[in-house]
Amino acid sequence: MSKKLLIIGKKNSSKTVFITQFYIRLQKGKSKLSLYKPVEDLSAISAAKDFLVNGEEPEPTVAGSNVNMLLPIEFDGQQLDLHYPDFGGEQINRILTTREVDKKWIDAIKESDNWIFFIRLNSINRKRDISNTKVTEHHTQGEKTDVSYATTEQSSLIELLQIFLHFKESDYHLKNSKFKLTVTLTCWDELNTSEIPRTILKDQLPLLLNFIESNWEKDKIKFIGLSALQFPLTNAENKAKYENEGSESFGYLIKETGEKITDITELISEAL
Amino acid sequence: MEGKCSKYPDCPAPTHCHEGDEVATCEYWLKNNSYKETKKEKPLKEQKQSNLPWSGEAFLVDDIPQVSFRSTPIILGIVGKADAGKTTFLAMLYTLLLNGNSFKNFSFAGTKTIIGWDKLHHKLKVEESDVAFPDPTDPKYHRLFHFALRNNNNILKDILLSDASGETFSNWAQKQDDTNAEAARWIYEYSHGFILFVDCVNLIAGKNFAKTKIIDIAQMLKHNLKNRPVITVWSKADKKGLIHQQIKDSLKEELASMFENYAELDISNFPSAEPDPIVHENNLKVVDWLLSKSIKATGKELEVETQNTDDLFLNYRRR
Repeated sequence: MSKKLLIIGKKNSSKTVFITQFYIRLQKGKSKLSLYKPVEDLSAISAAKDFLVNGEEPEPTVAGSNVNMLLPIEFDGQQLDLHYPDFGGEQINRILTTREVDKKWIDAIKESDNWIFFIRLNSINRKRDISNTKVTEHHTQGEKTDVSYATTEQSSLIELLQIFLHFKESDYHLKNSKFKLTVTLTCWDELNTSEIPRTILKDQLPLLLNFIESNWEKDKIKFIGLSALQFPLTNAENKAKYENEGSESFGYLIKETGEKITDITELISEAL
Repeated sequence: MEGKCSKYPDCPAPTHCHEGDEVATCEYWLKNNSYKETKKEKPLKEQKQSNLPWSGEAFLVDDIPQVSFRSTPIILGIVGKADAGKTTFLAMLYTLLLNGNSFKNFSFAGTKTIIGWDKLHHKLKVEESDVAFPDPTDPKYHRLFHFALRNNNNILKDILLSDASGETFSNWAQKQDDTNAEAARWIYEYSHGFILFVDCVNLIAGKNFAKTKIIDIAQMLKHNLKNRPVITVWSKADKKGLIHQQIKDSLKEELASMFENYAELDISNFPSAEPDPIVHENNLKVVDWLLSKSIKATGKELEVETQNTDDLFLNYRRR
């Protein structure tokens, strides 16, 4: 059996770290998911892997990178070839600014019925309390207010999903029941929270949550928290932990219920 | 017939091709439109490399087929004088949604004009600096903002809210066929419901003169209204108490007597308490009320137009 997985995420949303950590876990054979044969082409993650074994944070995937990785995984006694196209996160930002989606993205969207949407909340500005909003109404005609403008993160994430749904040719009249969306809040350790992932999303990006829940059937959406590293590798102490114990000893998932598990390979079984 | 597919009259081309082809190369489309395609320059939007059928910016009337191919949109016409707070209302609406507020019986299912909405929000959120929405001086300015909403039965409705300059309504109120009132005429003709803005600050200063201007617009709206719902919005209502009592009472009474399918609400951008309903809830309630009057509980809309509503926009475009 073959399944195509699509991990969608902006730059720095931790996609490469996750897939590398995922592979290292698979390789060690101590997780729910394992490899049933070796991966033929590791070039998508080999650089990131070297960083992690040295206790360093991998650099983001370069924008032009388009590697299709095939992971032959086994879980619950089933063998499954997981296709993971690794496109640099910069390409997502480019889709939003140029509004041009190239063929390889369109193919990946059409061919995958399991989307994992990586969102790193820490890099998103906190929502504003509109009670602080001050508005005045000029009567001076023609006066232009020059405020530099960038689309808010929430609007751009909604637009991104709208663009993906467009190419998926999903029927807007119905809630989508044909393919699955796993919203994954990454770098969970940065959030310092004991809430469940959906509650955090509701608090931080409520309109995005409304959009998702109004377009997907309930049993086709999941909200998961992920910390692929467990802690930042910026200080010597944390770096040493990775060097001594191996990167596979770290990282965790927060399931929908709030349950914390250390086997991050389960993100994939949740998403399938 | 130019502008239509030669095979199926219901084909949504030029938005999409019923065969699933590119419209520009579909033989049934070209049969009717080859002359146009070769002769006319491509619109500016297509000159860019975008391969998305929508730009995310606020719609022009010609963009309506981008949603009308999938459902007949409910058009809500925002009517009022210059600087009455019409655009600010739209900006506040999207800001409220971004912050987790929602419409009463509908969930947010998307928007084709998200960049347009976001720009409005951006202007509104810049606090303490002197942010304003100067009314567009061009009476021809006319945009539409889109929401896709899903009701409790999961039925999708497309909603379009108009944004036009106050000039166009003032011109229209004085002379129905004024050349600078095209936007007002369009909004009057095609809207399923209306939001009539009454500017409290303007009434304080302009007194009876300001009131008369509002009544002029309301009179024009009343003509041939066919029971379409109208909601009066008293904007900048934190100052409502400063309007001369007689002006306020008589305007309220006169407006209420003009319309049958009618309601009124106060809104403001300056909360006096937290949360203040005139700032938070009422902006959304304006739309809630109009939708409740425009769409039956079953999700089927009322027949507001007497003509064939399916061809509404095509009719308009062919004029």
